[in-house]
Amino acid sequence: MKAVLCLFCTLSAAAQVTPPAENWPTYHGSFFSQHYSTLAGITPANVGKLTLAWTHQANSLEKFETTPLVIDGVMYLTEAPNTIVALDPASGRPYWIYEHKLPEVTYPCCGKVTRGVAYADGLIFFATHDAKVIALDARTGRLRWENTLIDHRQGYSFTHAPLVVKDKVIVGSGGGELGIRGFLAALDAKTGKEVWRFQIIPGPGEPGNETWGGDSWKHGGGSIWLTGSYDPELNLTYWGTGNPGPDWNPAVRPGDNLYSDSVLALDADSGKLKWYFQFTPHDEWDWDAVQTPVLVDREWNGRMRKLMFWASRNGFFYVFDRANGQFLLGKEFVKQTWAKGLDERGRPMRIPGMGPSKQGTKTYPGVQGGTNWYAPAYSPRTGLFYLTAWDDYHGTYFAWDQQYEQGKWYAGGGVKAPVPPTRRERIVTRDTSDGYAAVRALDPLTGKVAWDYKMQDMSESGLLSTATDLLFSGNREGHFFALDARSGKLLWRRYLGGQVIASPITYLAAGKQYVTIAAGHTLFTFALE
Amino acid sequence: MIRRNRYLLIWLLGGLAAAQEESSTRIANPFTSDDDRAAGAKLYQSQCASCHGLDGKGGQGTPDFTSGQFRRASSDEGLFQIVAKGISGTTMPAFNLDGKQIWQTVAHIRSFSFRRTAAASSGDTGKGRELFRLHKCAACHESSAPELTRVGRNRPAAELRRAMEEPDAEVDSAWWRVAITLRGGQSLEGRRLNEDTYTIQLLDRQGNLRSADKSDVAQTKLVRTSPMPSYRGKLREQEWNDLLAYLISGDLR
Ligand code: HEC
Ligand code: HEC
Repeated sequence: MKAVLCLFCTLSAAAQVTPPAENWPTYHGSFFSQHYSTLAGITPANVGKLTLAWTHQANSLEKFETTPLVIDGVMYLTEAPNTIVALDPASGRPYWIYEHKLPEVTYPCCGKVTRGVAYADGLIFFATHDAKVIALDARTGRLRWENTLIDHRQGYSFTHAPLVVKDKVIVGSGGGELGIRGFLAALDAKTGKEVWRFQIIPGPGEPGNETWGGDSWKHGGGSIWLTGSYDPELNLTYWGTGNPGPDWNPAVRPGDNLYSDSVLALDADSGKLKWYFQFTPHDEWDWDAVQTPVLVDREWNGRMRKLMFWASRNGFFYVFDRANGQFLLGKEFVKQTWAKGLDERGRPMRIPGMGPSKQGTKTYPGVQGGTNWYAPAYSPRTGLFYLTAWDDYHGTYFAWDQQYEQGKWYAGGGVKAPVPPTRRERIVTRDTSDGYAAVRALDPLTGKVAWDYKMQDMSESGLLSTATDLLFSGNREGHFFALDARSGKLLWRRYLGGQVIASPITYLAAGKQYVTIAAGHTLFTFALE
Repeated sequence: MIRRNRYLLIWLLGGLAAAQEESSTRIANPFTSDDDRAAGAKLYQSQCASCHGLDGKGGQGTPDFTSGQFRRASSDEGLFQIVAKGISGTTMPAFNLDGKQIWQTVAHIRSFSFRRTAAASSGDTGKGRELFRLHKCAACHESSAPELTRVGRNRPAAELRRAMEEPDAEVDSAWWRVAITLRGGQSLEGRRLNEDTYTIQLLDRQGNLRSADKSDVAQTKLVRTSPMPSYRGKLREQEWNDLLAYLISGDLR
């Protein structure tokens, strides 16, 4: 509690780039979003003795996508649709539960999911399915302020954990399948008052609007599904944006469709665009750039640089200079059939005829992409970039006409795929001939695969790396496991019996190291005996 | 033009009768006219087909509407509830459509499964039953092959015949078999029920449920062909009619 009273202590920039090891202070573990922990209690030598410490049952049968925070001895997690739970991270016993009351109809496209919260200065921040941002007192769970950012009935919904940068709470909206016009907004953390807003789909007169034919920008999509990153020295905050709308009928939106499928670097104080990079200009496959911007300070060609690593849903791995957006490297990391490669500026050289069609077009990767929103990890010790890859996997993409109607599905086509997206499949007889998942380690200097840990079914689990060279992950089959981060060798596993569609975290409570993962409808926490 | 429409109407009404049979104790769909179905088809294309396919056959974790069997509903009212509320834990969303629109999409997804051809009316179901016994179809179909009670319900006879004439043409992975040799030398063989990265489950030839840990497995052989023999040339035309009539009757006891 002492720490809670320390004004802005967890906001100090240095503290969040290398956070106090006992906490898991942000959705991605730190401002640099490496999903890396300096805790060293659990090691390759003793990980085999990890046992269950406690479980927490969610009160919802929706997909359980929570990645909790641990702040100074309290864990904060979310349950679908819009519930926040504060509990004791050593015993699992709840302190308080806050249920945000939602209207009857909300518009999350693909399940009433929620992924997490943000914390700063004694407040918990949460973004809702009815397009509100709320702040709760972290000790009591009482509502401090609430701000409605837009009319949710136009298809907007917030599903990701906010990011707190200095005195601002930054959030963005989902809804790319419902014809929204995406935006990012920053609110004053103390009052909830909006400070700036960045329109991801530029309006008339704004730069980028010319990349949309006619009025198509009005329903251009560009969702925010996932929390961004922050570099305190550059004062830039980085966000990945979603697909252009309608997803699979690009004919109605001629042009590159900025800033869909892009990474945006915004000034944290003003929300002004410093630079951007678009991974998939004029996307035809629904390959949102909803990945985690992983920030790494590292030598590149003999010189220390501020880098950003990005494995995109479109099947390519990218390295950027995050100060100016310079494209440094791009290499495919899974089988893809839509681009001959990337040109010297990183723009894909498209192979004609691979977009959706009336009769269907078979293209690699499939609609879930080479990877997706599941968090990758980086280890400053191994220097490797780890991700969950879907390889050798295709989709058959269809396009058809679609009119926009408020609050309705606006996708302009569809996809058939031999491997389904997230689903509670308890019986799986498919083999890996239609695609497989792997925890894949890339050497970020070359984009080459260092090692691969292959699985039978797909995986939608995030990753966690530690200072003892452990790499934790789970999968759709319901397993949770630890690999040797240097070799990919399996060191420990438990069958949890429910799909993992979240990221593992690790923290210290009463001096003991714990590892937590959501699987099925339960949060599982492990520790050494 | 007119003739085609009349044909269409008969076809539609046939399906409707089948639908109402099931939902007699529930609220029946009040919006099943031609116009309703047409409106439903339009709504379906714009709101549902992305995930369910324009042809209703599914495509990414979505069920096959053409089978006429729903996993999560047995009545029109049940289907209405699904569309209105979504299915928790899956990507199936709740839809903000008005009641009439929901009924219309329900009418449309029902229409995917209307019987595409008449039953093999020339067949004698009694004789078909005899053939079913004679060829020991039940030996497999009682445990390690698809349940046949409803197989003829929404499938044309020609399709069933093709399945029996060319069993290997398309074998769903649910019917693949596996032969496993364990490190100790012991072997397991049977229908593969489930598999993940670390284990494999099967129904062995003796009818025992078995599970193997892959770390104990020396060799695995997956058999993707059908165990069913081809019946091409093995049945006379009249026998085909009888057997197919029996399958379509759905009264397989
Ligand atoms: C975002 C993808 C998506 C969209 C759009 C969608 N569905 Fe679904 N639907 C699913 C999935 C996935 C399932 C299977 C869920 C399960 O049972 O695992 C499903 C299941 C269903 C079922 C239950 C089938 C059964 O066997 O019980 C019905 C009925 C249905 N959908 C109707 C519709 C209708 C009508 C629409 C349009 C108004 C629609 N769906 C739009 C994804 C979708
Ligand atoms: C040796 C085992 C075996 C015998 C005997 C056998 N079947 Fe099959 N049958 C299967 C299997 C396994 C399948 C599913 C795989 C496939 O598609 O071939 C199947 C598929 C079918 C199908 C298609 C089902 C569908 O849903 O597509 C029909 C119809 C069928 N059998 C009818 C019969 C009839 C009638 C007989 C007897 C004359 C018979 N079978 C004898 C094993 C057998």
